[in-house]
Amino acid sequence: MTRRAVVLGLFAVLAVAQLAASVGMIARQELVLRHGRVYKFRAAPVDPFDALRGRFVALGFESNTVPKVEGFVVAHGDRVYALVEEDADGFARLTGLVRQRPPDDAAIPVTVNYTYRAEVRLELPFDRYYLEEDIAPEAEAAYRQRAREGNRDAYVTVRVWKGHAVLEELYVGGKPILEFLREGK
Amino acid sequence: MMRNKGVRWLYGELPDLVRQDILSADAAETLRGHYGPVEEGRWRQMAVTISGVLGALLIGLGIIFVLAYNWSALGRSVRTALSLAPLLAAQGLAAWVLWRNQPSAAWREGAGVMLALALVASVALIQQTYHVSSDYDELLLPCLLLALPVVYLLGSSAVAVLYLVGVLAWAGAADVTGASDVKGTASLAVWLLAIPLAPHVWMAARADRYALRPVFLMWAVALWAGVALAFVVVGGDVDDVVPMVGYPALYAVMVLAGAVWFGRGASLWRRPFETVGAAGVAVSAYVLTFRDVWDDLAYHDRELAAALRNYPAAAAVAAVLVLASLALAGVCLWRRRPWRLVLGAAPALALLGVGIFYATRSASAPAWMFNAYMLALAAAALVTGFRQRRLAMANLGVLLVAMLMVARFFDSEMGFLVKGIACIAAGAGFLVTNLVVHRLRRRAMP
Repeated sequence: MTRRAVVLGLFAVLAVAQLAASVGMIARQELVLRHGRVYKFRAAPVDPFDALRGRFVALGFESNTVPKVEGFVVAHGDRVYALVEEDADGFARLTGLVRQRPPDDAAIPVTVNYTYRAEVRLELPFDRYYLEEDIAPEAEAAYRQRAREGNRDAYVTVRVWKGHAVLEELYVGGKPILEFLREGK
Repeated sequence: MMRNKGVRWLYGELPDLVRQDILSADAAETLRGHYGPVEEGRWRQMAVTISGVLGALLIGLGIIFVLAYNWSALGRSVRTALSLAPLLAAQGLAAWVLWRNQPSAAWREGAGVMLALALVASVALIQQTYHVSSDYDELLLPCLLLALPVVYLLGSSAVAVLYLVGVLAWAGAADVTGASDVKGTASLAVWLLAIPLAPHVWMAARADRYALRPVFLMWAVALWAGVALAFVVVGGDVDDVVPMVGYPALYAVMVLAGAVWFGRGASLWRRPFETVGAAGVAVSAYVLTFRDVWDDLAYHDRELAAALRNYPAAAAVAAVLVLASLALAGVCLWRRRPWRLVLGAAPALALLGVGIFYATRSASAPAWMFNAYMLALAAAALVTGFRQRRLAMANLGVLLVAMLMVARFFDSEMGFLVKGIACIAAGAGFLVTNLVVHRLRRRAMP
């Protein structure tokens, strides 16, 4: 076998590995989006910028804490699962923490931010919604306007499947954000 | 290189000399025959390579920026397919370069840089499409590991340098410092990630260690090491002693290793380790001339033992560097290159300074010791400059003295008259140095 054949063979392996990393990421997201259970999280958007990935709406959530449980010690940076339930309005609420993923899709992977008094504050695995550069500030302005008017109708839908959570859509006023902005113009 | 420059100058002069009857046409032709053609190939090749790399870099960055401009008008499936497009295109180009067995460095470097950037662009686009919330460190690490083989398969030194920069960016994003890592061991990952590049540097330097490619790589490594050391020995509660000894030791190792293995480079540019190392030793020594730096040790006094116990990685790195500098100093002595020991003595003096501080509880003694050391460095630079008739080196000596004077102005109670006289003396020093070197040069001319 010539040196060129060896190099080409090794390059083929590398190219497959590079593609597998990208395609694997796509496949995981797609599987969660297709088979995952839907939850709605009330959101509070702002508008920062990511130099590499563009502009996005940063999302904060009303439900991002769980009560501290005696004997279940967690520290900053720990990766655990948060149990999810739906409240009377159909919005997701985090109720507790577990180390092992439960068999159903009623838990999302979270990172412990900090513990304060009787609460554990968590970082959720979906905290940004990417938008076009010129639309993102409009989205933020629309959200703020509605918040001033007393509306708490911004939320995201998240698909959860086998321990993975993927953000599906950002809604404002009951409509997907792009539709909301189009109709608002 | 110097010969080419001289021959090119001579060839430029020949027509005038012939025209003025100073030289006969035959004599000019004989001279041309004697010296032969001027070698332009290496520079042209380098220019083409740089153009190739810059082109690929700009195209890659352009793709990232164009695609970072969100594209929500397209459906998710189209966006997903387009996310893979830059990667597939770059892989196609790289495969073509390998298939054609392109010997051109421009093609190999360009294709390599494009592939590395396309990889980052594709992953970033997929994350954008699916609103993935990973941090930069989580984005960069898999990309770095998947880009590393490109260095070897395409033989791309530009990708190697991008990889080194990426490792620092990853470390910065991951906050891999003693502060975030209780034992300080994670910070060693910065160095472990760089080790796989060692064979590439060695292979590049094997044939001619003073050629453009190895020199370019070694500049990158030398500059990289100074920043990478910060992730190990600076930050958090890592005690001041560690960087105070670690930095002089790192740069002393560079100077001594440079002298032992790369000492025959024709210019400072061709001796990157010695150049960066000497600058690093001078800056480290300059910092240690300030009393405040030593005074700060008093605050860490009781914590010294705890700091070394809690940050064994940082202490181990500093210790290894000190031992390496001692070993290399021994090699320099054995090979009879003792004058490099003036620079190589920095870590030993830093250790001695720490010892003096803890023994006397006074910041003055170690600070003055480093003032004396700076003067010794300045004297060495002046003597070398005069002996070798190198104006830049002689001026460097005067610059070191001037830097020292400025520093002492700020932490001394000297009156304006004394400060003014000292300034005039420093200025006169520059002028006299230039004059002396010019005279020495003129005297040396035939």
